[in-house]
Amino acid sequence: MIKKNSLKKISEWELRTHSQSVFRVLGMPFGIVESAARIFCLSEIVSGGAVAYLVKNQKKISLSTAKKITVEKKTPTTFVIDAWHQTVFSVGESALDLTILNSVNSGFGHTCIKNLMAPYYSIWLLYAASKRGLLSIIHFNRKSVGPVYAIALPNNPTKVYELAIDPGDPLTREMDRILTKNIFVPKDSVVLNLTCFSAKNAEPLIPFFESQINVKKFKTLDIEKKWAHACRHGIFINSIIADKFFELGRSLWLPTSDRSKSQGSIGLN
Amino acid sequence: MIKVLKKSDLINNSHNLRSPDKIMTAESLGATKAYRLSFARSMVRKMTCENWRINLTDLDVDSNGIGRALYQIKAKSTSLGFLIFSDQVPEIERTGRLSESRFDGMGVIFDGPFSMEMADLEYTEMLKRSKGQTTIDGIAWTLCTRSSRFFSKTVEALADGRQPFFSAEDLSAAYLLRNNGCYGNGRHGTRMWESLGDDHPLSSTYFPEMFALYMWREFGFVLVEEMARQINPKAVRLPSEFKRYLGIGNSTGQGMSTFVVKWPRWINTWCVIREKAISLAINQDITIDNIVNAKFLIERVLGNLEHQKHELSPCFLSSVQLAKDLKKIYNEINILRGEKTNWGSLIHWCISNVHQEAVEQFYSILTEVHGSIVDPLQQKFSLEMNKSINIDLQMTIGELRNLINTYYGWAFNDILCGPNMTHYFFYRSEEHGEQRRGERYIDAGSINETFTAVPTAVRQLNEKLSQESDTQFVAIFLAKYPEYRFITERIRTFWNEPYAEIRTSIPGYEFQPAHIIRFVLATFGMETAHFSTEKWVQGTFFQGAPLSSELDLELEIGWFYPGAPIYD
Repeated sequence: MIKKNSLKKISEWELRTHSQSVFRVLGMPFGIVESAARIFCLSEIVSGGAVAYLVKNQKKISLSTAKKITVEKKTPTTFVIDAWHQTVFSVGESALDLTILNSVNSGFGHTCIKNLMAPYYSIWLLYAASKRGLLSIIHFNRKSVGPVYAIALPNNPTKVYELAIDPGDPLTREMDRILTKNIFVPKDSVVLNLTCFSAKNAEPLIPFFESQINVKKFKTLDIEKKWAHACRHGIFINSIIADKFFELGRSLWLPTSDRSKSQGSIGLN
Repeated sequence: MIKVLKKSDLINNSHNLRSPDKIMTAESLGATKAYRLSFARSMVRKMTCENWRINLTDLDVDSNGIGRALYQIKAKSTSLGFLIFSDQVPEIERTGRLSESRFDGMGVIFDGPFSMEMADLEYTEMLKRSKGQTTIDGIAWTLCTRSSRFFSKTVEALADGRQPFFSAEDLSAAYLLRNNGCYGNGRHGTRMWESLGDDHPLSSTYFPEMFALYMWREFGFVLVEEMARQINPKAVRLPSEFKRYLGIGNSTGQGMSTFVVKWPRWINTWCVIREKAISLAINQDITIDNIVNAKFLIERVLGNLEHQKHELSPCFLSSVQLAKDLKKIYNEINILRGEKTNWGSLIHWCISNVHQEAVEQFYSILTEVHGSIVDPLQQKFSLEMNKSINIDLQMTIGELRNLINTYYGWAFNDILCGPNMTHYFFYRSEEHGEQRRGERYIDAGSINETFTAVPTAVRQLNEKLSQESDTQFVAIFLAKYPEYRFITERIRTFWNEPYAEIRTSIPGYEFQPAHIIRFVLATFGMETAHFSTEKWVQGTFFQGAPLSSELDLELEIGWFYPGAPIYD
């Protein structure tokens, strides 16, 4: 049993550095842990749950890290990635790179990721794309509400808007129409679709999204506000989960060898 | 195709900055001296300009110095606190290592409301060391130990009703307390720097750390006087001149080497600003006033050097040789009198006639002589260190290889290749989470190493890229080989930041960490640095700095090169 009100404060620095360590402990190659931590940290800070997910799914994540993703270009604007059950933390930035590459070259880009774990921790992808002046949309399944569209607008990159998909709702139908037009979508086991529109192609779509956001069907996630709050006050996580997270990260640390004991050290970040 | 700039384009020639090939070697960086914009000097200027008020509002220590103290600080409109848990660690337990379970002093700098009742919980957390989390609105945790040469001797003397006497040797590193680390910017749950906001008194780069050092120095004076008073109510106090001469001790080890690899943008910013400051100063017209000030500052340095240890070191110039070279520069300045020119020709002469450390010392002096010209650069530290850029995601492998060959060509230098270049590895120590160095073929655990081998990683990436088509996009390459993402991003991000990379192999057998440590400490503002081994640098901060009761007075020129106290 986890005590309900026992929370531990974790700073953004601790979240970042320990997640990098945890990813290494779980077998992720060093070259990708910073990227994975970026996706992980923003998700925890904005939506929560990433630390708990990591602690709970260590074995699964560890088993998946030995696998290589495969990338296939299905159309001039669409890539399909088979993640081989890796998480969005390790696959996310590659998916974003490929989508942006197409959107810059062709006006829009689309990447479908199959066999992906933890797709709902993908908010960083939207944030990063919108900071580059792109309109970006993700389609995935959120456990609690079912399929979701998440959108970030280039003219307001500090916010992400989520819409729970309701096939009977005209707004959902319009979103489907915008996204499936000219985009290849494989039917089998796709768990995340990422679409980016270049600034020019996004221009006619932005008024539509802005008007819909204002009718309040979208849930708004204020990224910069949450980030600033986390930097100022930290985030609060169930203390048992936080301790396990720290413990896992610290397992990268090594006992000091005898020769190292007279070497000195620093107290810097 | 992206535009690939020439090296010369990167150095803003309006400032005529020095080439990174010259200054980014470990040896050149090791010659760096504290200068006008070093963080400690900048903070003292800010404290005096803004007339900070530092009040000891609570002091409850016994004759052994065990107890608590609380300072309340008013900096412009902001109130800060510094809470201290003072202890007395038996000499036998005091090794000066961060793995110690006890320290003579543990402190926390904090914002916001506070009552002494909240102190107990914070104390419990601090005792947990690397596993502790601040429970108040902590900005930084900090630790200190008492000086084995100065502390007890000073308490005894004051309690005896006399002033302590120290030999010239002792005075070369004069302090009562020694810093054992400052842990802010998120460590132990503290506030992140970026949350401090521009108007916060500690928002400038490394000001929380510098402030912690300054406060330990202050507390050292209070502690020796209070302990002496408890032993003998008629104990005397330390005179202000003597206090002012005392600094705060510091000893930094080779773990610092990982820091400079981890933060290329910070290192670039520090070097760019320093180089701009030097360039601005050199290009100022020489006036009689400037000559007088430059000579005065050289005299102050020479006076200060007389009390330095006359040590010989394989890394640093001896204080005797440095003094000789500075005298040569002093004599050369005399020849300048009356000439209408800038400092350029004198600098030319210096480069040919004196050691690089003496040239760097003179640069430092010129930044002080032309302080008002240089000072606006101080604002750029935070801005530049925190900037982010969007890397070019349309880059092809051919373009990336071009960047590597043009801007990371140094990584292919013969002296940075070979198995000796990764002889060591750095790792986080289980005991306290700090960086340590192990030998790759002897110590276990190199798989967990902290990344430091930039040139090796660059060469490995280049080798892998050579097996791919030049027309392929890097984005596709990274999807196939994500293990190369870190070094690829590093190159794509920092290729046009000329001072981001240190041109050495940090885990190499020949690498001497003392060079890098000294560079970082000089940037922080350590004025006197002593070589211990190639793995350590010891020294003092804030010698000559105004006391907390003097922050309303105008700063003296050259306060950071104090003369030794004169005994009757």
